[in-house]
Amino acid sequence: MKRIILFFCVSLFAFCLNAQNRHELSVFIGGESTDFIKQDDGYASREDLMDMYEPHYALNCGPVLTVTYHYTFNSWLSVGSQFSYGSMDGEIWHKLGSKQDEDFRKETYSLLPEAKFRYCGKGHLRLYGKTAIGLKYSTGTHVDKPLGFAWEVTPAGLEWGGHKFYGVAEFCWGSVIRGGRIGVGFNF
Amino acid sequence: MKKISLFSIAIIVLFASACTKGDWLGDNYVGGRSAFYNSDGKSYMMNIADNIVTDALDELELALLVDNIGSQSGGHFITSGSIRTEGSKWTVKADDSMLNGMTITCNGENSWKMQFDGKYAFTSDTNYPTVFDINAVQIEEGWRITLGGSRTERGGYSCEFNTGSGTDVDYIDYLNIYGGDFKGWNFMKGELYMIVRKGDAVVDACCLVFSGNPGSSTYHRGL
Repeated sequence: MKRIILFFCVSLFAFCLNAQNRHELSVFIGGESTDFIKQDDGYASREDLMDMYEPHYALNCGPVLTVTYHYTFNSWLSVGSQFSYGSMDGEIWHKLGSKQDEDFRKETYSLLPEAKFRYCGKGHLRLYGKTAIGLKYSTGTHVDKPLGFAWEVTPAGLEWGGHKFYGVAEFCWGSVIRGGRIGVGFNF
Repeated sequence: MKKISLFSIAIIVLFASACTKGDWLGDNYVGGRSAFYNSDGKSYMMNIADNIVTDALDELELALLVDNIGSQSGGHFITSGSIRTEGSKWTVKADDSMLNGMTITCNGENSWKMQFDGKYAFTSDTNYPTVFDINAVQIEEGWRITLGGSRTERGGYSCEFNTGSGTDVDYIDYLNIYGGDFKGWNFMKGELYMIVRKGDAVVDACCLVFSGNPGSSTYHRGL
């Protein structure tokens, strides 16, 4: 038994030595969630019957927080996962409709396995892209289907700084966030 | 080291600012919600009473002015005889007019009928098909009009509006008590009715009552 434990410890130590700087952890904040962009309908006109009689979503949106982890296989490919959290709240105004106004609250958690492709750059500026597919789970006051499919494409992402600690900015599009996000990354 | 410190500070500032919840609300309001919503409904009906009708009356007054001074219409109207002759019909032919294509027909002495079937914009985003007939009779202080029309909007919504057909007082007086140029809705007296539909279903029935005093009108819903 002792031999097995010793073998396991040595193997783990060897793996850690070998895997130095192959693990990559990043934390991001992004702007508006895709749910928010789809649901908030901004200004309701007084000159349009549909605006006055259909429900109007007047919402606030918090930033989408994202944590990603990747394991680097080689100079161009890393594989990992991203976890995101986003929330929005506000009110549904029924205006001249038949219902009373309602509070609205929605929190969304998403977990998306993803692949990261490094395009170019080995110095202080490095360019990459990502694709991710997974699931998202929503809770709140007006959630019809809590569990849903989620995807995201990042055609362009930029890392700048050292290889240990660096800044990240990326343009992404999908069902979690549309637009961009920034963050910090750490290799270990 | 210095570069890393500056970079860290920049990131912390960005995080802190982005973590503050943004106010994305397009329009805020103050005061009672019901009153706020009703003011939206009233505002919509004002677009009919104030914009559509007064634009039509403006065209009628312009036609009468052109006819009075015996000048050419400058291409604004397609004319057929004097607009004061019973049966004669003028057509608004001006791209810059909101009511391009509207016809004005003389019903008899001091009485005209205006008909329109086209798109009318309350705002640049609300250019919807609108049909109306307005009978306008010249009275001492302005115009007495009877109105019937409809408007078809997006999302299956439509409305029908009139000045109370079938009621004892089926007209609105547009009064110009101060003389001079046309003064608009501040001097209206009468009632405007509207039924709102979504598809075939009636979703609302409302009325705007004008007392005849400047700025005085009351909005009623769920009739």
